[in-house]
Amino acid sequence: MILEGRERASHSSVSITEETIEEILLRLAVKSVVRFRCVSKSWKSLFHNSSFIFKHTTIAINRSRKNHTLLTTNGKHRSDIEYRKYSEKDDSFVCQEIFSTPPIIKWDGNDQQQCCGGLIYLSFPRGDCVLWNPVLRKQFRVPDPVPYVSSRRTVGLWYDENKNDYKMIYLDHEAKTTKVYELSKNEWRGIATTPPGNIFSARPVFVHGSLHWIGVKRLTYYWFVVVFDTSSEVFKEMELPFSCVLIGKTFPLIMLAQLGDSLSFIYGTANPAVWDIWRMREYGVSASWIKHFTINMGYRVLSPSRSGIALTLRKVNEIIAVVGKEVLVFNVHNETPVSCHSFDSPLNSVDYRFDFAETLALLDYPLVNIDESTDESSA
Amino acid sequence: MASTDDKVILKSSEGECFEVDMAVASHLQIVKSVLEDCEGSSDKVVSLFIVEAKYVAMIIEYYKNYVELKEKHEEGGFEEKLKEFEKQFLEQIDKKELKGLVMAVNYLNAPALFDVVCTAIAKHIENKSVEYVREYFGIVNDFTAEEEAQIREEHRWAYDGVNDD
Repeated sequence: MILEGRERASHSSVSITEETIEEILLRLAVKSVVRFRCVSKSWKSLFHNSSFIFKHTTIAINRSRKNHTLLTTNGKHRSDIEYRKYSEKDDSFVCQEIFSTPPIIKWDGNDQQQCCGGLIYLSFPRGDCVLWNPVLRKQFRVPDPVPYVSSRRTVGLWYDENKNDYKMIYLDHEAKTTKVYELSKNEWRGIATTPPGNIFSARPVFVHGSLHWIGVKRLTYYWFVVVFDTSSEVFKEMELPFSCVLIGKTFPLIMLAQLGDSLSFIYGTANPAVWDIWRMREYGVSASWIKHFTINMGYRVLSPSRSGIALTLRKVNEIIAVVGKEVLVFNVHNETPVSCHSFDSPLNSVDYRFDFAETLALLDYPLVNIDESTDESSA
Repeated sequence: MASTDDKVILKSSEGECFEVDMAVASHLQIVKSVLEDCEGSSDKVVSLFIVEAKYVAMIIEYYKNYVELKEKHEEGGFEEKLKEFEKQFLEQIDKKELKGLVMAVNYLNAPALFDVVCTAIAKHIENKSVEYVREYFGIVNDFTAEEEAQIREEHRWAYDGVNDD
């Protein structure tokens, strides 16, 4: 029994096929891809091909789900932020790389920065914003969604894996307008829908193709999850484990987080920091909310409204929680942490996240100079 | 007869023969389809003309462990155990041999190992210079000196911290 001669001939060359080389290059870090642009003309055009960029980003996102790469955000001064990338080592985290925002980017507070699939959204005090790819050291000025950007706005950034596109939503709570931005088209378009109730949390959590915020209905004080389904572009509601959360609590902490592919709900007191960690085991089914464990940080976490927390699933039953300067490993069936390590988290950390993936997005975009007038302290 | 039914013989380019369990050989899509085409035939020898014996041995070793680990860790933990084995498996392969192996695996159409070897090669060239990579893949530089200098100038940071060994 032999393989056919036709196949034999096509494979008998001594060099690796182009398809195989592409498969290898798809697994490279962004820095190497950028460097290898000058290997040859065909490699350069391959790297600038949108289908290569798409596949590369998808592989990087899948890898980030397994590798537990931690991205911290810290505001050294109010006007500039630093991002640090950490990798997991012996139940703790080691800093791999530091990204500083380009000096011309001015930051106007904790809630106006977001990260999704390797791009970071940063906004200026007056509401205009840039998308920044820290690994590529490139930023792109996004057009204003409306001529006058409201201070009562909510913005959400996500990566659309089906369309290979970065998208944003802009919600103007005063004018009741909703707009969606697509990076590939570089334009905002209005959609005829508004969220049910008021949005309470600043940064959305992106799981199951939807953005999630904590919402509240003003008259009834009914707390719930505001869901924006990014494929059908409609708002939905989901229930929290309980709805009258804030009554009788002093300094409450209430937020959503991502835990693997699931939505997580964090609820407790901020001072002392005692937080219950909930998870919606079956997406969209409110009866499936389950309380996993309680994190008790006592008074070790300062400024609780701004301290970040990030959760990730490891192995079958382990959850890593990063809070303040501590890395806690929990077994889902156990209240006390299996291990607890400190790591060199930067001062003034405001956000931790586990979903950072290197991306080639913006490789082909021209470096757009940001309007000098927004950079008041450039001199 | 019954005892040899679940075995198949893979013949390398040098003519060396390897007797392999069907459970292992069926991970090689091309072998699987040849055997299906010739169902009922008593001839259980598949010639892999262009694949050298050393690569046939590596591929068999990988899938033998893959099949065994999968059976042993049906309840869970298979991926972790496989990762451990893959690390040890790759350590014994020379960087030049990785190229030969990836061609062989691509030819035999074995997706799991293909991913492992592609990732290993990517890891190997990750911090290498442009010159090293051209030599490694046998690629001819078709840029002029000016063109190349300009491309380098566009992203100078990407050329820092590169090693050549």
